[in-house]
Amino acid sequence: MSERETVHLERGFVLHQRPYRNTSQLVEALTERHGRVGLVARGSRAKGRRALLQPFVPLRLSWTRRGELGTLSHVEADGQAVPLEAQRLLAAYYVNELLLRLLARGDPNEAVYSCYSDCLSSLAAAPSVSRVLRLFELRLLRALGYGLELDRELDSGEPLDPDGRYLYDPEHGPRRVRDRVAEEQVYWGRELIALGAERLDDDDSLKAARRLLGRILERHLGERPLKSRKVMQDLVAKGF
Amino acid sequence: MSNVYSPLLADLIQALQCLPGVGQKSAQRMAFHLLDRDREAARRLARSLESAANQIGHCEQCRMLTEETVCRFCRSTHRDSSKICVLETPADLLAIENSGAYDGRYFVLMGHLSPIDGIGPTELGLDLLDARLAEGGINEVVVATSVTVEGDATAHLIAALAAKHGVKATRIAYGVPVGGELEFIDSGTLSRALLGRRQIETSPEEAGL
Repeated sequence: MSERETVHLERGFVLHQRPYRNTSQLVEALTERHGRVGLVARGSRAKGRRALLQPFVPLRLSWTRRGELGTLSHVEADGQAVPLEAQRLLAAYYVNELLLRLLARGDPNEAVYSCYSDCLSSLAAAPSVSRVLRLFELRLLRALGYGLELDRELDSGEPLDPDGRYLYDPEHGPRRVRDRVAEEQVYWGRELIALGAERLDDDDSLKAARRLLGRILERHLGERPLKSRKVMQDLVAKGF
Repeated sequence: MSNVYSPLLADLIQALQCLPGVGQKSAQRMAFHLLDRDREAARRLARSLESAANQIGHCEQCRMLTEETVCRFCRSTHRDSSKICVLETPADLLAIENSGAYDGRYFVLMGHLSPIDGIGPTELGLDLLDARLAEGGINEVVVATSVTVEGDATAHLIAALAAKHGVKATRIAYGVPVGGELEFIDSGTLSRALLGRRQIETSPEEAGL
């Protein structure tokens, strides 16, 4: 039998929740020092804890755990819910789904937590949603140890040339191209430098970042497509 | 564990576990009760499950679960056809119906917007709602989705749809429950209650002053 873990008032966010039995909820949360945890909140739907146990609300969570799932013993708000509307809310769901897909339970990673909570506050305020999402993807990959090489050319080890053209090997990094290659696979040195410096101020570098990060994430996500992305496309197609 | 049981019994115990909140132990208890104590009830249950599974579908107009093409709420001639109340589940419909304060039509989404579960406008039948609003004759959409992040997001979608057809959208009020004492109400609920406050309609004569 595994050791019993008791945690008091740990900072965290609900990533996803679903009803469980008559009045309980099964909550997947991202916490500051314990990573992703699965918690059963007994009787929460009837007892009014439901108001708190929702995504995008900063929380303090206490639980006890023996084995895979913990039992939530206490929850309180740690601030106001992050105000997100329409497109920003959907973007936040995308971020949650990305975390659920890329994080295993019980793998503490404080860097992931801080990049998530930064991302939520930026989503509420920043002018460009897609810039916030790209920076989150970049930082998340880095926090998970899949950081991108965006400084040096692979073969020569030299710094990237802003006016050079590169192919990106997802495992290793940028490789200079001199011969003709299909345009949609090529990145300008300046686009890679901008991404590495987290400076995504113009449309071109944003688009390049989306293309590159999308490819890298696809490798880590595997075959199963993200459901939130499908829903977003459905909403756009229906004119919402 | 279940291999001590004969195949049919093991099958039954396994099948009962498809119900929410029923695990091995409860399923065993149910199976023994049905077989040992009340075989007639077991047969009735089997017949009822069989016909329900085969015949019950969704109402063509409001998506309520029913074995008829059009459910009785949509057929009724005594209801106000100019209002349509949008809900998440059949259980919510029952709750609104029992309140006795609503006499319009319904529309059941059978869920709420939940991008992570892949539930979007198509899954919620918003095409059908769109078509009903396009038919005309409706002048108010009463949104009665849950007061949760997902419920709010769903309400926004419905409101956008109503706006597209020039129909007024209202949301049921939320805040202090009847019999509620402010001291024990969470700050989120209380702040919403304060935002949604309304004028007390009274005149000095009525108040006996």
